[in-house]
Amino acid sequence: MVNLENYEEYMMMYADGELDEVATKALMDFVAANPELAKELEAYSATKLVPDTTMVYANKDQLMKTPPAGGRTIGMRTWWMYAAAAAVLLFTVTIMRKGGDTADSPAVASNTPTTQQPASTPTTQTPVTDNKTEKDSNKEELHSNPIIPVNHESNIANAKSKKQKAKSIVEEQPQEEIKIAKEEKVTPAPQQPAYKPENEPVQQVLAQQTEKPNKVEEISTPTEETSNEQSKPRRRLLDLLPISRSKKEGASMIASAVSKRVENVTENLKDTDIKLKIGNKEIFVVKL
Amino acid sequence: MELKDYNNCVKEWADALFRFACKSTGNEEDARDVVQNSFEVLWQKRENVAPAKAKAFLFQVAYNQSIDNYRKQSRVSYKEEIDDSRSITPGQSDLKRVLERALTKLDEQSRALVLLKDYEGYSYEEIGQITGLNESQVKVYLHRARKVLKEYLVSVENVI
Repeated sequence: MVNLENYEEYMMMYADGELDEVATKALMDFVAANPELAKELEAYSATKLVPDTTMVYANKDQLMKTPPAGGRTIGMRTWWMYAAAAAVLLFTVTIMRKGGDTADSPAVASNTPTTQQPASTPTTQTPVTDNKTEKDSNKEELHSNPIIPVNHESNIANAKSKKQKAKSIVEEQPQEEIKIAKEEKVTPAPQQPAYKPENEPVQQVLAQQTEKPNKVEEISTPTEETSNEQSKPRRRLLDLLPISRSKKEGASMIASAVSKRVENVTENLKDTDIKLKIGNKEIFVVKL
Repeated sequence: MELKDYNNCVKEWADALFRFACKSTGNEEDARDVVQNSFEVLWQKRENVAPAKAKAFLFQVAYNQSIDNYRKQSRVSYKEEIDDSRSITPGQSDLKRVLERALTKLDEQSRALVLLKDYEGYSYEEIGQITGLNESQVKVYLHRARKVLKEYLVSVENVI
C-alpha cells in the first residue's frame, strides 16, 4: 500500500524498474491522488541513465581468440621433438649394438678352430655346425633346429658358456654331451640316484653335471685362444679412438690383463660347488 | 565454454563492458585495460564459465577491477575527461549532460550499481551476485544513489 511514508521508495523502485504491474498502478493512483508528488516522480524517473551506444570498443579483433592454428603448430613441434629424440636413441642403440657385435665376434671366430680339430664322424659333425649357429644367435637356432629338447639343452649350455666367457668354443664332445643330456631328459631314468629328478631344474643340473668332466678337458685348450680373441675387438675399438699409438698399446695391455684376470676367476669358479644345506641335510649341490 | 562462445561474448558484450568501464573508471585508457583484462580472465576461466553466465562473469571482473582502479588512482577529474568528448555529443539533451555530471557525485560503488541497473538492466539479485553485496544492500545503495541524482537534477534549475 503506497502512502506518504513509503511513496519515495516506490518511486525509486519504479525508476529501477522493479515494480510489478500492480505496484506500479498503486503508485500511479497515489500520485494521481497527490499531484504535488508528480514532479518528484518525474525527477526520479529522470535519474535513469541511458547508455551511449556510440561509445564502442574499437579493437574487438584483438580480444578474439583463434587457437586452432597455434595448437597445430605446437603439436607439430612436439611431434618433431619426439622424432628427434627417437632418432638420437636409435642412433645410439645402433652404435652400441655395433660395438657389441664386434665384442661378440671372437665367439664366432673361436668357432673356426673347431673345424680344424680332428675330424669326427659325420653324424657328430652335423650337430656341431648346428651348435655353432646356436652359439651365435639363440633365436635363430630355435627356428633352424626343429628338435626342441636339443635347443633347450643347448641353450643351457649356452648360458653356462656365457658365464664362462672364453669357454664358448664348441667342440664335438660338448655336443655329444648335449645329446646325452637330451637322452636323459627323454628317458627319465636317473643316472645319479643321489639327486631325485623331481623337476626340470634338477634335471638340468644333472645334465650339467654330466657335461662337467668333458668340459674341463675341453676348456683347458681354447682359453688362450679366447683370450687372444677377446683382445682383438678391443684393439679394433682402440684403433678408432683418436689417441696416440703408445696409449692404445697401453690400453690393450690393460685390457688383456683384465681378461686374463677374469679367466682366472672363472677357472677358480669352475672347481667350486654350490651347496644348499638346511641343518645337516643337504638339499642340492650345483657343481660349476 | 568453447572458443566460439567466447568470441560471441566478445562481439556481444565488449561494447557494453567498455561503456560500463568508462563510466566506472572515468578514463578510456583504464576502461580498455579493464575490458582486456576481463576477457582475458574469461578466457582463462572458460572451462568453468557457462556461456549463459559469461556476461555476469565479465561484469563481475570489470566491476572489481574498476573499483580497484578507481580507488588506486582516485581520479577526481572523472567527468571532464569522459563526458565532453564521447558521451556528450552535440545535440544530446541537457538532461543527459547534467545526469552525466550528477553521476560523478556518486562514490564508485554507487555509480557502478546505477550503471549495472540502468545500462544493463540487471535486477537487484543479479547486481548482488556481480558485486558481492546482498539484495538488501544493493537496494539501499541504489536508492541512496537515486536520491543523490534526483537532488542534483532538481537543484540544477532549468533542467527539470
